[in-house]
Amino acid sequence: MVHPTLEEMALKRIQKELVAFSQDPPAQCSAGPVAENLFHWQATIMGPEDSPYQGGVFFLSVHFPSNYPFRPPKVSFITRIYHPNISKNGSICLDILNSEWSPALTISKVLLSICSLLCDPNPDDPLVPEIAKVYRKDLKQYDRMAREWTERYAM
Amino acid sequence: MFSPAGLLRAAVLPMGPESKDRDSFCGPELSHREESNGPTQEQHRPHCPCNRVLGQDCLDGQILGQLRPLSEEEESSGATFVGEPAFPEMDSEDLRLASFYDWPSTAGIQPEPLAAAGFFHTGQQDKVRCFFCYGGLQSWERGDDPWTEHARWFPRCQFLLRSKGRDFVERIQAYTPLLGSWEQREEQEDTVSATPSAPTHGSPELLRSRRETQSEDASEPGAEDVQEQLRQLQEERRCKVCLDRAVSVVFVPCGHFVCTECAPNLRLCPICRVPICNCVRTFLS
Repeated sequence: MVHPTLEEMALKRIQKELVAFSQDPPAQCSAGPVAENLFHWQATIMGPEDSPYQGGVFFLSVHFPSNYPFRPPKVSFITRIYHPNISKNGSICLDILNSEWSPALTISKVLLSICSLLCDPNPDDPLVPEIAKVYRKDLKQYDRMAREWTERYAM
Repeated sequence: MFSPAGLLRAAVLPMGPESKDRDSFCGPELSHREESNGPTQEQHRPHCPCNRVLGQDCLDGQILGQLRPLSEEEESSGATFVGEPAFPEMDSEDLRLASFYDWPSTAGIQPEPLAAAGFFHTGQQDKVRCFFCYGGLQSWERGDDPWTEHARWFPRCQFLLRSKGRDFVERIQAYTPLLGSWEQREEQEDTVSATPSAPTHGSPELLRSRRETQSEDASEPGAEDVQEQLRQLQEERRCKVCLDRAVSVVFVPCGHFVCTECAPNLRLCPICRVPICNCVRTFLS
């Protein structure tokens, strides 16, 4: 028996994830490949209710490495968002996308985790310290700024 | 011409050469009928005690279904065939006890009686598995007896039957027949839900949605329920990394499974992130 290459395993896994995602998409999320390249997806997250991002539609870019799922996918926001753990260029500070990645995780679970991060920012490990400071000291100002950015960039 | 009653009477009570001829003519049919009746009577006789105890026809099948496999296993165990343990490396009670190194202090039971009853710790909360039958149990409460729970949920485990005897197992099964048949299904669902998930920021939502999905599935009747059970069984055997091949490699010490293709690429268990000390090839059949 010929052992499959890591890239073949990655392609097969991504195809299975695409089928599973189509059959049972998580709430408030959508995702699919861009053009014909299965290793490059675009995802959308609806701003969660009970959060200042409500009503917004946030686009994300997902790049799968050639040795996926043994390395995490690269996920970043395309739409600008006011959040202490998401930088101006869209980088996301989320442990399961870096040190805590597990091959048993899927894109579906990653998107759900990002939704959860939008509802509950983590100011103790900020990517944008200024926003984390506002989040800690003036929650109303944070909500106002987040809502303003959502209306400006995500609607 | 003889009447039908007369013919039967003559056949049953042969008299004279003329009757004997007719008896030989009817012999095969009657003989066949008697043969078919015999087993039926034998089957009915042992079931009477169950009928008296339960008094409900719809439950007889469940009880009989549980009893027959036990007797069948008894016959097979009498033969040369003996089942092999799912985790031979955990055959030693000391090794099983060592697997409880990170056993939660809040659990309602100590590791020693669990290891004695054949269980080792999977590394997740208070979830344990039998080294022989691979049966999983969790949510231990104060006062639980591992042997009793083992007999309640996995009455066909050969290690259990060898250690405690058939009478013990049958007594436990008879004591809670209705409760067992209902909760066993719930336990299976718990086992299924526990396996796939890894800790994430969204874990509360994941757990909530998974539970809701299962409750919806459970409400569906008949054939769809069987299909759902089949899908769950297939899901249990599928590698969580490639989502494709059947599992056949077990990690030491955590006990989680992946397939042979994914195992060489992993240094941490994908399910619980425990460092992998060793891999053991297994055959689930």
